[in-house]
Amino acid sequence: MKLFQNRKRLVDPQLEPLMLRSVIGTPLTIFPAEVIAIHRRMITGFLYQQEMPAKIGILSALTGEGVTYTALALGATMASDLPKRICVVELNMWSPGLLTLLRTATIPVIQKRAFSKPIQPPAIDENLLPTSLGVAGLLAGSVSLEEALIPTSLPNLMLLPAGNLPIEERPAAARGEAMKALIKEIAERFDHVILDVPPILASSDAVALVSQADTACLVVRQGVTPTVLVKQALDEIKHMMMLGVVLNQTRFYTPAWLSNLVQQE
Amino acid sequence: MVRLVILKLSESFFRHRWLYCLPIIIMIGAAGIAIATAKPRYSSSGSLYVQSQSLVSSLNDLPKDGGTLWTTQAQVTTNQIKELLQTEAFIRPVVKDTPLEAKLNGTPEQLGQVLKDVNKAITVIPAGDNLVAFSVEYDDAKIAYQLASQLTESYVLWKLNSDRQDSIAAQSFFTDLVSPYQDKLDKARQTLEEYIKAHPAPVRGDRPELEKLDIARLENEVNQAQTRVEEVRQKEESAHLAQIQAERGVRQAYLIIDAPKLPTNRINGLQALIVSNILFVIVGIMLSVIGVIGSALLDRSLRFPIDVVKELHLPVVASIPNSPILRAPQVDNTLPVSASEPQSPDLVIIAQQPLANSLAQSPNE
Repeated sequence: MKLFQNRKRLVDPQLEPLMLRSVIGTPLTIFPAEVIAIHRRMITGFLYQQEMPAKIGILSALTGEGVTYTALALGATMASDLPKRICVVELNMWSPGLLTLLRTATIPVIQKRAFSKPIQPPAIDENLLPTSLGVAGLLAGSVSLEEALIPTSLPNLMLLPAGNLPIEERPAAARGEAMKALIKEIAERFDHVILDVPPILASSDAVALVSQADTACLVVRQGVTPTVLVKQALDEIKHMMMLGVVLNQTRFYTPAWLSNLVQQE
Repeated sequence: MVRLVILKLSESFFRHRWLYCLPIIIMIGAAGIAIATAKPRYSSSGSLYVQSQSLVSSLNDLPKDGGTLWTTQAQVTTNQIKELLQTEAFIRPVVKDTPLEAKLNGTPEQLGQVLKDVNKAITVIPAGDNLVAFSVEYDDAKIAYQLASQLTESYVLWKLNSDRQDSIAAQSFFTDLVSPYQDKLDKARQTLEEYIKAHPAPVRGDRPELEKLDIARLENEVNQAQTRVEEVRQKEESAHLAQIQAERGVRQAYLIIDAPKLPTNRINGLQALIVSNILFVIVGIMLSVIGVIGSALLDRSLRFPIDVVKELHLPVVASIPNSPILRAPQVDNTLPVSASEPQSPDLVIIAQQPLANSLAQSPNE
């Protein structure tokens, strides 16, 4: 009977999704139970196999791989499970997505029906959603770190979005001392800093930014990202210590009874 | 490596399983239609033994009918029959007394169709150096039998006609010569008789020398005319004999070993149809296999943890499933207690409320 074991049963059915809220209680984003379970397994592996690095750089080869989602999910899981102070820092100023991700829980569900007019979604009360000038504001000196950090319903989890930095200033900012000092300051305040780094092949600044981390973790979209480009990205950061690869948005079509016959490990 | 190949192929198949099953389904459908619409076919077959035309040709292996050292009598006969089947003159006796005969007298289109059908129905192949196998497949058992029976008969008749033409021409030529030669003989005899009457023999003594010479000359002319008539008559008889011998030779040269029989069972029964149409299914399976293998080969992305380990030499720390985006219900988007609560400096893990039942789901991004 084990042969026909359903893959979904590997996740404890009693697990609940993890809802991340703002300090005023607005739902920001909700992580499915299985996503949290997998990140929890990953964290456990880090804890018992090696020392948990202080600064983890989450990066990818291309855009759209799910780096921000993975960084936030990892941060939320760590903050939820460990008595440690966690900060998720978004350094991807080329295509920032953290604030957008924090709105996913409040975006209303649009019921689409065939041959019907599109339903205009109700307006979201922007006052309930968190805002921040982020890293750009900090580098510009507009705000202090306390003002830039977004607190969450998990008191040990802080979020720092990328903000809006002019394009011409980004290369200098990525390689500048101000950025290093900022990350150093954040690292001193928090036990673990998760850096959301721009795609390696999309921006040359990504190598400079990920080098601020102690170790790196590569996010690869399963079945989409070409292996050649992933190898190319890894060549760019071969000086970094790699934690491993996160296969994101995985979907296996092979039936469990068949895949169980082929040992993967 | 083997595990990876198996996983990639199975994933490639199951990812678009209905697409890959489609060629098989279509081909099975095509085979079903072919079986359902197949007309009954009957076959009548036989074999013809072809002997060498003469002792000399059989001894030196030189075929008389235009063959070469490298072609056998059976091959020559087969080629001749195939060529003759393209002609209306040969088809006519073949389809005689069959329903196809009426169509031969119809429009040029009908004539062409009959020629095409008959050619398609008749198969002639050399089955040895001297053996020709022939078979006729047709929708109607009786027509198949008739065509098979009349095919050999028509060919033998054609051979007889072609060989008899020489004998008939020779016979006719010599027959035409007999009459003038006979006239010349009669005339020579008459001239001799008239001369003898005009110059009777003397009562005493011999004829004069001059008369003797004239009579001898006239007798010589009669003898010559007589000889020519006899020679012509002899040659005429020889030509007639040659004609008879040719007919007998052709009959002996082409012997039907296995006479065609009236078929009783159709050759394309259900079992035979299924076997013959299994090719459709095989083609469908081949297309599916090509699609699966091609898709697996063209897929240059990372799909399995084993794939990552092999290609990147890095461990897979997490494999995050493609989960749907979860959204909070619109009516309860705030927590009443935490809005005014001050941030606690201590590290507190907030107990998660049971959310699974109250969350709305939308399609994945």
